[in-house]
Amino acid sequence: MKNKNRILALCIILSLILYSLVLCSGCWSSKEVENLALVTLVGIDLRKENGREIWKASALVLFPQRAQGEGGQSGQLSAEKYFEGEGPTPQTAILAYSKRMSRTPFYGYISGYIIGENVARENLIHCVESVARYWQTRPRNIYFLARGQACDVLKAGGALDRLSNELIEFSDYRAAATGQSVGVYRYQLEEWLTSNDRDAVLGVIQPVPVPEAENNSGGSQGGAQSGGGQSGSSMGGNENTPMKNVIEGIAVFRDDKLVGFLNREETEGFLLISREITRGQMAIAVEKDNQMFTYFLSESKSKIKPIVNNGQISYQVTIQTKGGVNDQPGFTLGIKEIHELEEAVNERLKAKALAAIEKAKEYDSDFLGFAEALHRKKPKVWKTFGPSNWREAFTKADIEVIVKSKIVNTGTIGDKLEIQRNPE
Amino acid sequence: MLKRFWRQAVEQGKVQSSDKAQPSDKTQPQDKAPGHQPQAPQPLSVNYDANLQALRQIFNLCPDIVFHEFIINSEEGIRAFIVYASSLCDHRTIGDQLMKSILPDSTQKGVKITKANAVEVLKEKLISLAEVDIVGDLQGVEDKVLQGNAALLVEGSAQAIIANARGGEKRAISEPDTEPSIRGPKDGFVEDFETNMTLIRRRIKTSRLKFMITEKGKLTKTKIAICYIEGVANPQVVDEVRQRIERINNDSVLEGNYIEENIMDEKFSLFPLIQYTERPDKACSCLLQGRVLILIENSNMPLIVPTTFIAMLQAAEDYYHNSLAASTIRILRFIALNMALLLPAVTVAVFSFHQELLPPPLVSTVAGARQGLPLSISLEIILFEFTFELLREAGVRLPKTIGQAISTVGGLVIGDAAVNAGVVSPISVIVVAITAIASFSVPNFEAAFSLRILRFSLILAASVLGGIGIVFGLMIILIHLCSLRSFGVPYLAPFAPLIVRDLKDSIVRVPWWALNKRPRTNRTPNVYRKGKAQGPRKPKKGGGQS
Repeated sequence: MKNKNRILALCIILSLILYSLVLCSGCWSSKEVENLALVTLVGIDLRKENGREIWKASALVLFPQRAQGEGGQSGQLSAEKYFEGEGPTPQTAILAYSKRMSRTPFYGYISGYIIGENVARENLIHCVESVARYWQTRPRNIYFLARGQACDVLKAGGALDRLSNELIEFSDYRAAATGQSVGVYRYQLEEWLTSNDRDAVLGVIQPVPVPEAENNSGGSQGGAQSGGGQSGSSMGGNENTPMKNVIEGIAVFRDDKLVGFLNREETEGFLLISREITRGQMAIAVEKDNQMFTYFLSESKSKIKPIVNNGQISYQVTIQTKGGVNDQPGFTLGIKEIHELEEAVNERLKAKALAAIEKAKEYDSDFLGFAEALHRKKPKVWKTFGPSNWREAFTKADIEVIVKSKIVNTGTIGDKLEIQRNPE
Repeated sequence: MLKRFWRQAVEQGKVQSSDKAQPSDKTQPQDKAPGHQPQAPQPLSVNYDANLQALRQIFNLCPDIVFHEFIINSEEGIRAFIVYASSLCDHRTIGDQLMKSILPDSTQKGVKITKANAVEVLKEKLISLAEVDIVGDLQGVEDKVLQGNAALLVEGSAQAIIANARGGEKRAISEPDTEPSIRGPKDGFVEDFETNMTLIRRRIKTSRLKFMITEKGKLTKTKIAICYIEGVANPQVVDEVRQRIERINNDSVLEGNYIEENIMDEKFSLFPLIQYTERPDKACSCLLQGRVLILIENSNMPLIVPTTFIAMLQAAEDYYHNSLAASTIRILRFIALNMALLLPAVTVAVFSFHQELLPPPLVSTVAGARQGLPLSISLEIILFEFTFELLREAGVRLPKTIGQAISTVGGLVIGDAAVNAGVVSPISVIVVAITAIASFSVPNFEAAFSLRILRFSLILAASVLGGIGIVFGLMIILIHLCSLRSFGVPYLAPFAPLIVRDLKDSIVRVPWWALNKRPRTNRTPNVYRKGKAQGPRKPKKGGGQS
């Protein structure tokens, strides 16, 4: 009997303890959704003072707020708020701004990291590694390089939407498709930086003044609000000339150091050689018979074929594209004429590709992936190069570019528009 | 001491049962009545008055027992009396048939009635009118009278003629409330035992349909029929059912659950190990699958054994609709089952622990709406679920018309007011509402009940440990489910153990032309339901012309 009572008592106590767990809900590792500050974008800058590194972290943060509308039922998002902090290492800088927030910063929704030009030139690896080690970052976080300071990019905000949203949409497919730039994910950058057959590139973002006409029509609504407390001293600098961000061009690295930038022409060349473009929206102006027409590139594929002949390495790059011609000054678009136009397009695209290759050789940086192709297809040859001179497999090689473009679409009318002119 | 005494008594056969409830049974007033000794039934006396006196004594203070004395119209003027329970008998049967055939006898030609042959002659006469039996002891008379028979005792005879005059009030057959359907028969089981047997017999017209009838409950004397189709049901299962029911020794059986909880495989289980139904068509379908039905007097819900987990998701209608539609609906129910079990827990886990699983617009909407609310989302959902359970219980207890009003007031008004007042967030209301709707789409009420209990445990687990808590909870549930058996059949069959043949009628239902075999789960000796290759066929080209 005694034993039974004891077991019963034990059961009651156990169940009481179990039920008291309800009261514990919200403790331990739980973090209620309403107490989070959703960090959407982080910028990292570096400067030197008296020979010591000073890191500056800036962040755009969303604070969900209760809407003050009817009944106050649904939440709404404020604009992104801007925070910044400084410290001797990237993490101390990040913690410096975290302290000023009333809520726990949450990096689960971060869209990307903007790296200041100085960081890229001096100590990129420190920054990339500390980001990579943080558990809330994701492999598909996007990296951009800011022309100048990253914090200026964050302050300028997006053109139409929140900057973070714009970056996500841009990187997903539009960067390459429009031929403007490239969206590089975290895992890709880390892979390039650690590989011994390819150099890294990053998309470039920079704030530019908003043209007067756009400004009046409210084009820069997405600008970040200052929320950084005392750190906001430098915030008002751009108030007179509103800025917005533009993503254009590519930053080229050699190992972990920024060595230069690609212009529009070279960027398109880079994309043609090293990216597969689908659903492209690249408008390329081509000249034929002293008249300009537009080749609207919608698909492109490329193949790099290393050829080894008596120890001499050369590469053959084949680029296949598809596109349409809708915008043209009255060419007849018969089968024969289309072939002629395709020839002109081939020449134009080849020039772009060669411009990119030229630049790569100039920077002594193999960001186009030639050595990588050699590594994959002829590993024995690649092994003859050491870890320090593998770029010679590219820089000293001859490169032949073959472009096979196709015009698959001439718009909704087949023939040219015949304008009836009165005989004079 | 007392225990040992009882054990000895049982061993010596002094007491009929080994049930511990026996001593308290003895104190029942009925047992104290004179002439009521279970060991040796007291025979009827030849003395008319003694019999009458004894029976009057037995039925003392039973106003519904009618004693009707008369003299049989013979030369000797034989006294006789008829005794019956007016509440259980059909008055017309007694008045028009029994009495008329007994009384005018002597004027007719034939055998003369004397005290010596009265019982024989009257029995012969009555046999054309009703089911007739002869009983020779008081206990027998008492039992028969209480079963709705009329007992005729004649002067000078120590035997009673028992004539069936069963009747009385019973509910008409109506549409089953608990399992309504759009297509399919609309009749449902009622409380009357014979009617229920009729409903089954009307559907399965074979002599192989057997009803093994026993009686349980010392006071209620409730009839229980083990119903099965010989050659289709596994004899071992039938035998097991019989044995388990025989083991029961209680004083009353008022509803199926009195039996159900006594014959289950497990002492405690959250999941229904025995199915029940109010639909005769479903019951017959189960019989034809090789399962066993337990019909219980005064219960409109016969029990079905053995049962499996998947049976909780099957409704009778699934077999009446197009198989594609039925399969789709079953899949929908399966999703609903998971939602009813997991949705609140997953909501708690995601919003308190794993926010990165949600798309940013959703999390910002929810986070925005939750600004400044007093409770954490887990407490909010627990409280709201609790409120909902209260409303549901209130709705069940109240009369139907008011019940609806309560659920409207509760669901719409309280929910809306709570959100507007800034007490709870809209997401909790949405989640609880969706969960409720999902749980209503589980056809089996008992299963829905177990889901309700498990849901709370999972919310608790999720609010403490997040997603890991849910996984732990589900693992425990799964282990429990795997360990369950229903009359020897694994509860998770046909999934664990995997029985490929039975998957045809599990989450999906294949068309009838493909359901060749009965489910293997029930280990039926008669496997084939029908011949092979009987599906629809297109006529051969030109076949009709030649």
